[in-house]
Amino acid sequence: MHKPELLESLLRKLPMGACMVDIEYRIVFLNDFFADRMDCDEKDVLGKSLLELFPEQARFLKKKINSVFILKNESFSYWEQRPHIFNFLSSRPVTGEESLMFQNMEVLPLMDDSNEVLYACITIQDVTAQASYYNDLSKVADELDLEHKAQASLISKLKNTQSQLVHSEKMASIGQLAAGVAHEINSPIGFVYSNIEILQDYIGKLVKITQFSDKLIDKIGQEIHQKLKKDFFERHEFDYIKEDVVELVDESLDGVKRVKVIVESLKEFSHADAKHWAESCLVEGIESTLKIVSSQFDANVTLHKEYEEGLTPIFCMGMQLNQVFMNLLVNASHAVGDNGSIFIKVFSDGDYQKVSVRDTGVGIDASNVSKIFDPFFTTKPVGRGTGLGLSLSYNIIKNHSGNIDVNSVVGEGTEFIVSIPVKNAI
Amino acid sequence: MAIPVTIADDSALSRKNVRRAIPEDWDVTISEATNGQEAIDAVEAGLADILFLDLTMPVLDGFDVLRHVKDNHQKTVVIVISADIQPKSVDLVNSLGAFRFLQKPLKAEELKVTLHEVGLI
Amino acid sequence: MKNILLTEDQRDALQEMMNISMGQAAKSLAQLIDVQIILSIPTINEASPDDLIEILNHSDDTWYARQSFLGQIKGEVLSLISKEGCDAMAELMDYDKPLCDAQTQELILELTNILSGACLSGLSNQLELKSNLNMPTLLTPSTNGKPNYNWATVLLVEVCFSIESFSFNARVVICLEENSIVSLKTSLDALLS
Repeated sequence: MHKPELLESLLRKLPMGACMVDIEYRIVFLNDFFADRMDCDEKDVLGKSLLELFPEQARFLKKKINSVFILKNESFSYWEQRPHIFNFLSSRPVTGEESLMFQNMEVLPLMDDSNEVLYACITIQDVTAQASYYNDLSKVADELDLEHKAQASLISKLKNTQSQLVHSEKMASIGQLAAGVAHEINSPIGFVYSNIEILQDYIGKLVKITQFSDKLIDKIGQEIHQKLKKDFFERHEFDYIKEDVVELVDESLDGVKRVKVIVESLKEFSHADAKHWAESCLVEGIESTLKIVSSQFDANVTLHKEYEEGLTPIFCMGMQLNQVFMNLLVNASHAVGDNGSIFIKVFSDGDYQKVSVRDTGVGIDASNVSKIFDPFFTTKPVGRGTGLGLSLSYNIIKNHSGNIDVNSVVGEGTEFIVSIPVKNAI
Repeated sequence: MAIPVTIADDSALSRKNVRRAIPEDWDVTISEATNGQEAIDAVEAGLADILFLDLTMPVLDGFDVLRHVKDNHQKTVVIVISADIQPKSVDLVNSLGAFRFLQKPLKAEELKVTLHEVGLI
Repeated sequence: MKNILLTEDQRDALQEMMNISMGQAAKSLAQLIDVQIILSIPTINEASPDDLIEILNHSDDTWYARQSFLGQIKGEVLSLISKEGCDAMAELMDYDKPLCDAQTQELILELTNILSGACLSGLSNQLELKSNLNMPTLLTPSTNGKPNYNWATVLLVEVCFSIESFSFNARVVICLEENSIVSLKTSLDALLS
């Protein structure tokens, strides 16, 4: 064979696509690779417009070919940006998963002696193997990345849980301590209270007895007795004592009464058996919770209470509901900050008794409303909230076959409504 | 009498190329300018009945020189020799009154033909 | 900057050649997308690795791409393309807007190929030195740590294209490795004699 023939046969057998077109995009040469992938004979397409044979890519091919004719330089295209220029099938029709061939394209100018471009030669490289390898690799990298992120979030959840556990352990200990202290104080404070009550009675009587003796001496005693009595009374400031002693005893009784109330609410709140079902009054639950949390409210926060009269006690786990009320009240106090109002309403509504806790605080962003009952969701700064309060509350309410609803407007405030069925089955 | 000719180009190679391309038997006195301002100075000094002018030059570019010559020295024959062969640049050069536009790198034969055409030799 | 490698004449000649290459590139571009390009005077410098790091110092308003070339002269062409004006460029080059990521990449690579192709072929034709460009690739300048270059000096031939009608500019830096500088000097001397 002569050299040009050898070269042509080499070109035909090259393991890459080669297609030459003239300035009108007409095919003047097509090698075997190209023809095989087009599933045609070279002679069938010679003279036909490449743009008409591949209409979907016509605009792109036209641009590329024009640029080669005008600029007289190569032009490139990569699988990464444009994976399948020609709708050729992949080189792995049986074993592979790729159905379309990934292609790199280079368009070369073929010039005559006077440096004018005669033809543009489109060469196509099948890079399916590299591309799928690369794609697999980036898929693996993506998966690794996802896994890494999942791990990171798991770790942060674990940390949160740990701190929550520590926190609840602490709370439980404080609860037990409070219960113990309350129990211990309860009996001494009981006899101190009754003793002071008796003391109050005795003091009253003692004062009366003394006053009687005073008058008697004035009436029937001799001058010397009267003088002695007067001197003695004055030395011991009887007039002052008889006024003050009553006041002191009254004040002490009042103080001890207050201690008694605190001890009782502590006892009530830290009830030993939190899962105890009993008849309980929601208003009382709210009131006892308020005694615990109201110290957290800023002085400028006003509390409005509206309790429907004649509400019957309902069958519930009172301690656990108190936990819910506490969460709602603490959240409300955080929401209003140092100025605002908190409205508490207890009322009956059909088969339910409802407690509404409404605040005039910052409100909850609409995008967060769906998440507030998720465990660990919190918008409070680290250390301020655990993200468990509302999710625990939700579970408690669900255990009562009840509902907890929220209405919130950013900048206006938030209302939580807890509904507990009046007739609760265990 | 020798004709005063100025070659204005910032490139020494280009000026040398123009010098070499000028026909040997043409009776001229050649001056050189390395930027637009020097070119204008040469024109003002009467050293440039014919001005071979580059476009892309420091200080003042060829377009500025063309404007100045068009306004003040209409008798000066300007032949632009430039690499800036964009159609709009060629149009602008022609509208500014240049006699001819020659493309870089300058070919001696082309210059000779041009000089003939405009009747300079 | 030190200039130990090229004589003043060689520099001048190389600069003039780049000027001519740019002119040809601009003419071709004008045919392709009908814009008027403002030509600037090419600059030629020898650069140390630190100088190159300076050029590739990452900036958020620039796209970076590179394209290597082989043949009688070897090296790489770097293109620094302003993000500003790319949309207008895309429109001129018949891309559909808005550009997705893949199309933006395609546009950058195409611009790189056109500009560096025109500059390099202009230069190598005049020098009568053969060289072939390979595919351009996008470049993300390293933001952490200095890259390790295993050369001491390269020759940087830089041209800047800007467009008359809108704000856009592209810096094209041809970087010639040391051995190619020898071939280049020989060719320049032949032209100068």
